[in-house]
Amino acid sequence: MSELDPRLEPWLAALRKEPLARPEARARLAAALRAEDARAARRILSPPAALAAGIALVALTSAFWLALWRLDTPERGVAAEELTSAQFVLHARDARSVSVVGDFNDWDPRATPLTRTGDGVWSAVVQLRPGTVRYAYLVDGTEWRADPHAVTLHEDFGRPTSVAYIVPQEAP
Amino acid sequence: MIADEELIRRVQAGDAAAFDALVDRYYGACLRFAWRSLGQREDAEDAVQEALVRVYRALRRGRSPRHFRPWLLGIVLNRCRSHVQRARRRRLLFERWWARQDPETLRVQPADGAGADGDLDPKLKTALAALRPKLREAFLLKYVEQLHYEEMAEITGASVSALKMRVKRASDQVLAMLTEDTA
Repeated sequence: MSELDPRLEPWLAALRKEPLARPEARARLAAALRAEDARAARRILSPPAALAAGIALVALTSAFWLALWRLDTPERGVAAEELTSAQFVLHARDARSVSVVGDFNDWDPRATPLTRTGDGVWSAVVQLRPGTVRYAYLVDGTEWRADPHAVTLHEDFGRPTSVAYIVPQEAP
Repeated sequence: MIADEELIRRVQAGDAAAFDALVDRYYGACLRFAWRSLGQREDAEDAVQEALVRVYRALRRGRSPRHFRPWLLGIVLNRCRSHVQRARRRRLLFERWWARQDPETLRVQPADGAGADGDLDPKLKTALAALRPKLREAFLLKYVEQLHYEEMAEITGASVSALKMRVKRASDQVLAMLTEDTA
């Protein structure tokens, strides 16, 4: 480290400080590791049972709800047991249209329209893989809206997006 | 303290608690590297989780890395690279869509900025973010994770001389940004 300029040292001390782990992040990791154990066991013991297994959605939002279904048309290249059906829900009483955009649909506002289910509640079901999902709502084709009940991130392009986490469900 | 090699041996024998001990030992360093690399805590937590699940799977299948910590950081680094690629794609798609919208009618709901990297001096964060990804990862591996150049070469796939060059360039750039107002 002889080439290090000493003026950098105080800045490096700040960078070297280890951030504290958030309990919710460690809990998600623990769930993912348990799911990995379960997957390994299914591979060994009961391959057909793996096809029927679902994946749980753990979201940080009350507006992003868990729902599990058996999948009829798995995403190409992704095993059925690694997908889940998740429901996006937004309350927008005066909206004429609502769609959800995210990594899962290439941020295409036409790909996933929500359906009005009454009393200003809009919803849609999307099949997703485990991991972080980034998304936002588009109201009336013009209003970019982060999920009011989810963690919001500011993208480097200056628009807020919401984030939720999908973790595999433990085997029954 | 139980040595990494012994914990790895126990994981390979099916002891899940031994892997928890490895996670307790290294989670902070993994999160630090990923957070400094990606700039967002949520992205970093996701990359670290993906990496640790891969590490667990590899150990359970009998993989025995010679040096655990650099091997682990290499896997975190790969997950971070993958996140950067995804973010770049998201930005391109968003901008393509955004360009088609009428700015007079488009509204964006304000948000509170939760999840941003709040633990670093904004000046330092800006200087890190301004680095090209390969310069940033070399700088962090050398001066924050304090790996040897040979270890860095093994996990990045770059030569030692290339890495030395990247670290030097990154250091010069960071220092210039941090001192430009006080010079």
